Amino acid sequence: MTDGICIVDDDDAVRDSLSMLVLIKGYRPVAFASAEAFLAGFDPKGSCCVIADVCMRGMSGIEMLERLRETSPDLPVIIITAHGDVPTAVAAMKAGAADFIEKPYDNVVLLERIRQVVAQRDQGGLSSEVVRGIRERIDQLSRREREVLDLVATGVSNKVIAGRLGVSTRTVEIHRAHMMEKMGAEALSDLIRMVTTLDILSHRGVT
Amino acid sequence: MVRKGGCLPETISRATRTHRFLILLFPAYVLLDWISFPHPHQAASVTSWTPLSGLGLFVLFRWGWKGLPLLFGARLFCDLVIRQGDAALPTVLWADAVVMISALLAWIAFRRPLKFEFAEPSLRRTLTFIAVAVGAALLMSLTYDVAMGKVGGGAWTEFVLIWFRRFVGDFIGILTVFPCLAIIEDWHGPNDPPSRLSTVNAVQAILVAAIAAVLFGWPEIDEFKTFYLLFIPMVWVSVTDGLVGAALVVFITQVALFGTISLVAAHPPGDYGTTHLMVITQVLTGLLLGTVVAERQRLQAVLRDSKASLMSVFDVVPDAMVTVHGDGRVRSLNPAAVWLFGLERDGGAGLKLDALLPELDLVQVRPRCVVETHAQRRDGRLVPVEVALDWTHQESGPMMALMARDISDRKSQEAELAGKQAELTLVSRRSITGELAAVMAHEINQPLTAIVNYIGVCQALAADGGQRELLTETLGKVARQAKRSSEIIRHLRRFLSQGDGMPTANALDKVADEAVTLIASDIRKAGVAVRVSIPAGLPTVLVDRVQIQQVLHNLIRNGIDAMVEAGTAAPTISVQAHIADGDPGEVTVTVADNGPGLSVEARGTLFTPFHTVKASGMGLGLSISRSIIEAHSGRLWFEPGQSGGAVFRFTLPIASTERDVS
Repeated sequence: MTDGICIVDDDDAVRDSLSMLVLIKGYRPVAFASAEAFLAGFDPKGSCCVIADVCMRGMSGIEMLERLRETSPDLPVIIITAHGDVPTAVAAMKAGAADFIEKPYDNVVLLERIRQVVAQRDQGGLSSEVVRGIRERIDQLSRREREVLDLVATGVSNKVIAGRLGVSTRTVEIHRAHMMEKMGAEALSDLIRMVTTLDILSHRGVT
Repeated sequence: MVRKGGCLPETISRATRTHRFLILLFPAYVLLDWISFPHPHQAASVTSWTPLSGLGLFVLFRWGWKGLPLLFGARLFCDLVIRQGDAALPTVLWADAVVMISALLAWIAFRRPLKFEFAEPSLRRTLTFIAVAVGAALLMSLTYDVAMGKVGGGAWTEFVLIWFRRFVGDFIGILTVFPCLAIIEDWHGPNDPPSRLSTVNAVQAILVAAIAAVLFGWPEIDEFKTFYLLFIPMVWVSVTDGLVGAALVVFITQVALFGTISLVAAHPPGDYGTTHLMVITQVLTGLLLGTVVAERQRLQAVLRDSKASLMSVFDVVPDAMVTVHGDGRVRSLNPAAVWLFGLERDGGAGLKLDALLPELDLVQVRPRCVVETHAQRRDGRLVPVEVALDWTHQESGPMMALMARDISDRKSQEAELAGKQAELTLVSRRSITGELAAVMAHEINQPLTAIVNYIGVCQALAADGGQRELLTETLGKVARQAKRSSEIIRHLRRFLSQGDGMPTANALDKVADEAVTLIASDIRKAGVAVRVSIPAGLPTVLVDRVQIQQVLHNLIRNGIDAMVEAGTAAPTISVQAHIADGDPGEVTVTVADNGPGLSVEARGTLFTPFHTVKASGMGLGLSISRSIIEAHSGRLWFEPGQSGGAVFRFTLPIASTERDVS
């Protein structure tokens, strides 16, 4: 049985609703109210995916993820958070999250991501097709758009980017919109996911 | 050729001057003896005055024993050369010796009190001089008469008469000559009396001498009936030139008078007693009148000086000073006042004070208290001023002295500061509002996420067509989460809408609970335990709720940051409140942590804006918090915790007078 999805969130309503959602989509939800409870009681063999909140009483989702990597490096973890800031997203991806999704999300998107990460895990990693797709999109960016992308990925505001590049905030906004469109990113988190995916792969020496 | 020298002293030293003066006294002695010497044609053997007693006493008084040879030499010279009497030399020597001895005795007896004070005269000093002159004259005349064997030679009454005449002569001599020499000796000295004299004085002197000579030298005039004429120039000089003038005029009168009698002898006075009385009257009147006048002149000079120095202060002080008559009309203004009120130079006197300080209610102002009001300038501008005033009661009626200081600079600084303060509070408020929005966004995202999930479930159930009960149940959950969202929004709106109002009665426990709830996620993230233990029975406090929550937020936040940075084990913050120990009308709130506490240096700048020990932060939190508490008439201070850690306390006013004692 590898259809178990571990749900780690300290909010009762989120935990309950998410459990119902994955259950009705044919998975087997196992809910935990804290990171500590999850690390102590989850079944590595029976689980195919973990969905964890970042902000929780006690241990945070990121810290939990780091601990989990030591024992179960292959178990994909989707981080969901109500704090959609870039540093948190980058930290989550660096810690090895399979995906990073902001609350509230479209449940269709969530279920699609779950399906993807489970499939990736079964295939043994990211498909080279996905990586090539990201590369191709980055190559389409203009020089300025690329600069804006690099700065956005560090989590600074448009105003700071404008200052660094010596252009107006309005110009940065325009570049940023074009860049997001070319990258096919709907939200900031999508962009971060793409950038960190490449980052992680290049660090691992995979091209 | 190089000129040498050039180092002669410009002023003659006092020693040189007195020695020259001593030498000059020899001819003076001889001259005085010559004019007062009873010439052979005169009947009486007693001279009418004895100027030499005065001169002798002065020489001894100034030079002591050293003056004795001069006196003796001069005396002997007069006896042998001028008088050419028929007495044998031993008799003459003996008589001269007796004169010396009598003078010495008087000097020994009276050298301490004998002093003629003309630089700073007073009636007491002049009277003392006169009394001492009486004593010295008595001693000198008695010594002479006894030694010369006038006692027992005839009738006792005759001796007293002779002795009395000699005493009067000595007395007049001392009174006239001693002051005059004292004044002349000080010529070009420290007091320099002659520099106060003028050509008018020379005319006066000549006039006096002429009157005396005419009265006593003209045989047709009965000097006893016309003597009073001598008073006229004497009074004139005394009134204009004080004691110095009086002393000199008295001396000149006597020289002229007795010189005329002795030398011309046209009409020798038949009755020496009458002459003596007139002379004594004139001399004493002159000296006393001169003293009174001089004393008055000196007092006037002192008054003038003090007035001048006061006026210079009045002119130079940078604050406006105004004196006002009892009827409210301005008497005088200093230049600063003229400038402050924008008046014409030398203008302003006679204006009503109401025109200058229209808002000032004199009845309300207590003397020597400073009040703030506005000065009305001529150009119509109002200038904020600080005013202090006091009343004095002068002979011309009540007078008010008023000082006004321009405080427009201070006022504008105060206004600027208040503006800055408000700005800072606003910045801080915005930042807390921003944080609040982030907290609320996070809080509201939870039910929204749940709703999205439930809707996904519902969609699946609806597509399936079955399990209607589960669908209904799930929709109920959706509704509950939607309600939860609206609760959060309502909370936020309540917080934002109640910010600007006047202080209202608030239960402190609720205020603190809310403040803690606002940063609940930070507290949770940092793993800090925050314990609020405020008794529910505590009286309500009169506060702007949001502002006090801001203070609590700042203090708790600081505690969290400090403890996280220091890695404090089991970090705890406690918030407590109780009725203030010193004041039952106040509540003391304590926010304490068990973190690293504060270094002594950090304590010094704790409440200074833009001083921070944090890695991030503007260093405004505590200064703003203190401003907020002070605006609530409270105090905010730091104390080191008993077991380390930082303790902040602040006081807040209790809202109602009736309190729950429990």
